[in-house]
Amino acid sequence: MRHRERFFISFFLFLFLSIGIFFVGKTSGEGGFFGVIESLVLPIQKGVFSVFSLPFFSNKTEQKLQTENASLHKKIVDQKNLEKENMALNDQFQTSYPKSQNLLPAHIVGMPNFIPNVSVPGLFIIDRGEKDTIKVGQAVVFLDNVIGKVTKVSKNLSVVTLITQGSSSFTASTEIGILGIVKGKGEAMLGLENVQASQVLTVGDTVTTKGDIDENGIGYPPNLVVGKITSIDKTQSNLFQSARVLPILDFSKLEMVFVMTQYE
Amino acid sequence: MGKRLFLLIVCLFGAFLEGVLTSIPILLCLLTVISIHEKSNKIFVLAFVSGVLLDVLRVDPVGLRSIFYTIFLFLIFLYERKFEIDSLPFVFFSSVIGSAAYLFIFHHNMVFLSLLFSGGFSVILFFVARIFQKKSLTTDFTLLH
Repeated sequence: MRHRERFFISFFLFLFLSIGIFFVGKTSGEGGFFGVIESLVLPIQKGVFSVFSLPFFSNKTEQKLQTENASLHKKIVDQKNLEKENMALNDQFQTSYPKSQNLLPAHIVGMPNFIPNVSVPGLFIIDRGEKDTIKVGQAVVFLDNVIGKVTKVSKNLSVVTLITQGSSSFTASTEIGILGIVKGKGEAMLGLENVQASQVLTVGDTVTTKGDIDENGIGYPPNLVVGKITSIDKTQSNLFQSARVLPILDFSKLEMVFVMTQYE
Repeated sequence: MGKRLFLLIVCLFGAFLEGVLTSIPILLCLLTVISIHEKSNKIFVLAFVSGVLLDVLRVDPVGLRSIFYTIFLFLIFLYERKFEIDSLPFVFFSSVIGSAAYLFIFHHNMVFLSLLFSGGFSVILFFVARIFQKKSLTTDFTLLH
């Protein structure tokens, strides 16, 4: 009987303690005490991630080639855009994109997925937070490739939901200006949907973001590389067609990303 | 005291693994097996501390996982009066059901595979705990004689 009483006392004690902490965190924000806990565990978090992400299994040559491939794809898209615009204006206003002063580098300190280094991650945890002016909705990029969006922020950490997650959805266009909606399909794959059936999609076309910046300057900027079309799904009876898009970068191999803190 | 500290370290390590590397509910499996094996109220301390740590690592509202683990362990202890919980089928099914609720609440992918792995992982932990228990009983018996 005494054991049973102590059991219920323990249960209610820790339940109310947990509920109390939950409401304190909600009302006073994630700073303060929990920010201190974050600062204390951040080095351990980084250490665990670097140890268990098995860097000695990573193929450095393959990573270098992927990086070069990604930058070449962006160059191809840039080249085609330049052909359409006025050459005199481009010579005058040509700048690198996105601007480096708007990018905040962030290390990935967590990449939870089913089997580490094997299955595809759905989100990153980065070592930047509110104290670094990170806000929910800011785009995250790597070498002109869109990676995802910040979805949760605390004082020292942020969660980046990748574009391949099912909850991700944004407008995009192909090299020749065909518009569609890119949706995450999971397992490192994207779908380009709601494309008019009369439009001609080509396998191998590069898909870039159309841009959905809001009045606060938050969102995906235009002309960031999303991926390449790998297959097209078109039937005669449908008004719309869709395509499978494969991101150029292997997100599971990334160690650092960049957060777009402002758009100009 | 040494055993409790060891269990706390194991739970914190499990929280770091789940917070940084994997989406499988490792901590839930650890807490399930420890609660069934130890049958002590101290499990609520482990659940609270490791739940808070995991919430901090995953940038979730702090306290959410502690609430979940506390209620889940409470339900396990309620079953103790009615059923034999120190058994393989109970360990497996409680882990699977608990993981299903956990994955539903905290929105993870690959639910089916995660459930299977959780059940299997808990069973393995249960066997390991049994082996350690038998070894410590044998050592105590030898010392007595």
